[in-house]
Amino acid sequence: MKLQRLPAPMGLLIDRNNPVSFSFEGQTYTGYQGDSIASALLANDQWLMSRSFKYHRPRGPLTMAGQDANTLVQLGGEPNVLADREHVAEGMQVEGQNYNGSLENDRDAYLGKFGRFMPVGFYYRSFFKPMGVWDKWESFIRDKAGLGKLDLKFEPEYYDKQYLFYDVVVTGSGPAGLSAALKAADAGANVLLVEEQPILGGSLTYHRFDQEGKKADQLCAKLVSSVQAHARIDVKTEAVCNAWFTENYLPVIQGKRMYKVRAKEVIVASGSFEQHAVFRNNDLPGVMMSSAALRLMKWYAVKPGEKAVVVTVNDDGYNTALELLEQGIMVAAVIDMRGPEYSPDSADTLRGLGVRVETGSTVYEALATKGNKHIKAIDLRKITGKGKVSEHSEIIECDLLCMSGGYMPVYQLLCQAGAQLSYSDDAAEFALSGLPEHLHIAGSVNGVHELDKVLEDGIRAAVESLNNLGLSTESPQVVGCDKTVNFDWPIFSHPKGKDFVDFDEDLQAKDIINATRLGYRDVQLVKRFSTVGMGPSQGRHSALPTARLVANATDRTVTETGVTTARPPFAPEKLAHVAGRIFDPYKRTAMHHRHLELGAKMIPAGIWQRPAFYGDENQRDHCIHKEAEHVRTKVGLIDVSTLGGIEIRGPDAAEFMNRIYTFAFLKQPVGKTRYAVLTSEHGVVIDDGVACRIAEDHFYVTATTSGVDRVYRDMTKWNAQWRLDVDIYNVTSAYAAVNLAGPDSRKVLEKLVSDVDLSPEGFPYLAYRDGHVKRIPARMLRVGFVGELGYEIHVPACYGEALWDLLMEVGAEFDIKPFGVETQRLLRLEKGHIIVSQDTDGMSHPGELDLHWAINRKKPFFVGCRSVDIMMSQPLTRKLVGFKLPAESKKPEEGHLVIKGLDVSGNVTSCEYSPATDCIIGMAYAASEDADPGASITIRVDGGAEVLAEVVSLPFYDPDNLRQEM
Amino acid sequence: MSVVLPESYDKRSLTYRLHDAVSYTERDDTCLVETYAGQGSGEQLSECALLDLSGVHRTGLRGKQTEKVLAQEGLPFPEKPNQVSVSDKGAMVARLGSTETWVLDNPLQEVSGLGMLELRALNEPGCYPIYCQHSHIWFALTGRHLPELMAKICGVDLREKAFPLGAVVQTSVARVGAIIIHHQLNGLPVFSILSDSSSSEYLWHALIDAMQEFQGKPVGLGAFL
Repeated sequence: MKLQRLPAPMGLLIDRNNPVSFSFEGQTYTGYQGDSIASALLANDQWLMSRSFKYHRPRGPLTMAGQDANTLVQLGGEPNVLADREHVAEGMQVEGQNYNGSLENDRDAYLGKFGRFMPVGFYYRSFFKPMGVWDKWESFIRDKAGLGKLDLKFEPEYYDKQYLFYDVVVTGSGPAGLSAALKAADAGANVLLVEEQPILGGSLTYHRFDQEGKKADQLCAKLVSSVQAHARIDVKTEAVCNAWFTENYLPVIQGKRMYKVRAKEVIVASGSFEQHAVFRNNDLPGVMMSSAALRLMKWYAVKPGEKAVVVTVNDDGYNTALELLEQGIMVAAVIDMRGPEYSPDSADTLRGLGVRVETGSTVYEALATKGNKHIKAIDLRKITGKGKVSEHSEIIECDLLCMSGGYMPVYQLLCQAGAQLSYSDDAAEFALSGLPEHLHIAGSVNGVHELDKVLEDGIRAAVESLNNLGLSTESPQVVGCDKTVNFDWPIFSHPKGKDFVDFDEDLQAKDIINATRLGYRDVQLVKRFSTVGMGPSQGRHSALPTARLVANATDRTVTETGVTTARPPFAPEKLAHVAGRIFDPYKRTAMHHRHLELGAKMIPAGIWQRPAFYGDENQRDHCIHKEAEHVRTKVGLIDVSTLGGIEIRGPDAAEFMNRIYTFAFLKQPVGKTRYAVLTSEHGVVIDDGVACRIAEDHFYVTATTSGVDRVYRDMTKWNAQWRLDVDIYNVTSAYAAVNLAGPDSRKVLEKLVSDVDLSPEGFPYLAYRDGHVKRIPARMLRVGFVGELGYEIHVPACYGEALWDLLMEVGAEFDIKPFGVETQRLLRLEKGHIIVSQDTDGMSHPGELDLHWAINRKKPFFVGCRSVDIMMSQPLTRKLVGFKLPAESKKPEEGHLVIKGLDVSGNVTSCEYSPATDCIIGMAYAASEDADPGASITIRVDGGAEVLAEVVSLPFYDPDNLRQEM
Repeated sequence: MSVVLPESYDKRSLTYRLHDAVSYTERDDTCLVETYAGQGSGEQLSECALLDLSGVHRTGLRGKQTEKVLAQEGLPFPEKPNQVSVSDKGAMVARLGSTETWVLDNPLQEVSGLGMLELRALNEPGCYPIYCQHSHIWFALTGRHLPELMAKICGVDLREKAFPLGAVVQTSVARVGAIIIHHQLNGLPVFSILSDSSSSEYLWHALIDAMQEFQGKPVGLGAFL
């Protein structure tokens, strides 16, 4: 059988002037540009496209709309591509998936014969004992049930995101969506129309709405041309609105981009999914939805068969038959499950054309060619009751069976928004209610099925939207529709099974019923037990028959039974769409590139990038020790621009400082610095820094790199209550800063500073001076963080690099060397200075840290003072202590536990080998009774070994502070 | 004629290394990109262009006396927060809060007119200078794709209707805090972006990346001449 393309106007999507060559399973085929892979294959009489998940049954297209798993194929390194959605392209290489051997001759097809030994859940009911047996079976089962193959060597591609903003977003461009979009745009709204398919029009592009077959084409042309010409309507085709999130936040995926759409009003005109009928072998290639056959003809000019049978529950089956006839396909029979009273005119028309019409009948079984590769006939039976048929059988030969089994509203987005589904026994159909504000539905998703009414319903939804937008005062006209499209029980179970409810998961009617018999009465439990609706099509075709089957089996109504929860995404989406184009900000100081030029090993410090040390990264300890020694003996320079900086300005600046920090600041002299500790309301130390008093009404206070944002936030929060007359300004990025440290640091600075007396008397330890480093305006602080004579120099950020250059240039005479953060941590550890957040945790109060001296007891208040008082009045349970170990000991690491008997009494917070003392030094929390110098603490190091460390008084280096105060 | 290079100046934009094959022009003790190699005419400005104006003088004022100090310098005080007003000389005054304004010099004017403003602020009780020259870089985007381009990196609706000429938003761009100002330069619509200077390299690359689909390119101030 060689199928030819139908003449125009069939083939709306294909360009017959552009043939495309591609391969499927190694064989070369030709299609046309605009073809889907599936349509091109069908045009070449290749019906078999995949094997089913469990039984490896041959499968061909079901919907031709990308709404089922039957056409999942492997496209190069990408598995699970929908062949009825993906366009063919020149040179494309397509493979089937989930087979053993070849797609045509799958060695695992025998599994279908053992179906009764593999009921739902058989593997997790069979392979869980004895213990460990699952591990042996898992790979075998996964191999048999797997889908495509991932290419783990794939090269990531560029995916990104974009925000869009509209007054109205309409999802679905069928008649309801088109009329809604036009009405809204005509009234002045900016509209986005989202369509999943390549062309606008929805069912108007393939469905036959009247016996003459003219109405849809004319209406479609008119509406689509109006939409495309409208300045206020933007259209996105081949785009999927994949979810609804609160306040009409919609992810719309098109190509390699995810649009994050903000809509004031949303109109869901998503239509409805045509449903299949349940009978034996309803999954054979050649058995498809009527809408799929219509799409094949209208969109791709592909003749879906030579001799067709149509089984229907509504008028649409009759119109499908008319279309088939018009395209030269013999229609052997139209089988209507309903009685003769439902569509007498359509039946007469068809009979007049020589087509046999059977009412009150059904297809009981589809008969297959060898290997179940295609349908060859159907078994026609009279319906004798709910799900029951007569004994009399009639076989009708055919190579195409079209199913018009009714419709299910495309409810997914709406249920994500909180809408409720209720089932009408009269209409045998689900309806939606309970929509949130600013979300509307229109068309067949709203249970309106007559074309004229559908158009009116679109206008009604648009008017409601316009009223909300204040663009119209028109009263929305309620649209009623009496037309029914569903049949209450299009399910005819067969004793031999293979009457599929869910094609994705190879679930038969009995699988659903058996689940209820095993006690899984709730439809959610049925889903989890049977996996119904969990496949790629997410219940698009299985939800309705499952609800009916479960309701019947549990003696409840379908409304009571309901359907399973619809969660995003609506259609499968790639992780690349979610992850694509990640924004991962980083911060660099003004001197960053100088560090790179000097061979720095950069490390992250929060969002910042900082030099850890300079030199060979494989020689970390050597580099750090060398840098430390240089600072101790000569002069070093470190970039401390990442330090937080906050300005407190105004008449109440001193009062504000006094309330925020633990120390006293009211009487801090201008030109002096003071250590500033910040506690939380719980009395925990949360940050520290140095406060410089620049003027009576002006403080400049530093904060830790990671803590400054919190400090600034807390300051503004507190002053919102205090209402002090101050301005609080985070100047972290406005200043670059260095610490020039070492015994020769003064000599270096003297070469560059002429407007500040740098002598020990003129600029003593803890003093602050404004001045210039050559031409650069600078704030200078005498600090001792690393325990040597040192100057922190803060300059406006734009001067940062020039400051570094000047100091390095002038310092060359004194052999100045840069040093990194790791070195600074070692140097400050030798001095016993804590780093808040490294040596403190969420419980550390000032008493544990020996910071009594930094707390002023005379002032009436500071943040956390009451909690500090309470905690420090209690007996200490732990304390931060200094410890040391011989240099050859196994070195504890940060986080290692301090053990006391059988208990953990603390942990190591900092530990390094100290070149200055030639031993391993560190700080750790220890039990308070072990905190006195001379005591011992046991530290459990890597491998579980324990070392005994001596508790010593801090600092480890220069206890008289002679070097930093020189 | 001597060649102008960023490293000849103590005051350097944190972004100067981002610009390859450029020529600079001196401005306010620093330099600005004049042209890129192969930089075309003003057509790129109309299409999609990115300028680094970080070297252009700007300052900020905060406090109760802000309006008074601005008035003393003949600078307008926008009626409401999140608006920008333009002085006779083309300086922009962006009002970010009830008493906070940032004043941005006219990039096309060779001599800064803001020198006295900082001095006045320092000497006026209740008025505090903001060091936005140092804390924030200044990038400017031009061209007909501005809203579409920004929609790739910013969650705020920046189309003309929602973000008209003279509007200011304080938001995130590519996940870093930013102030966006809609104004004109030589009659061309411009989105000026002021963002933390320490993230300037990151943001520059994010903008260049977002501009690719619009054939956007960096240009120097010379494109306006």
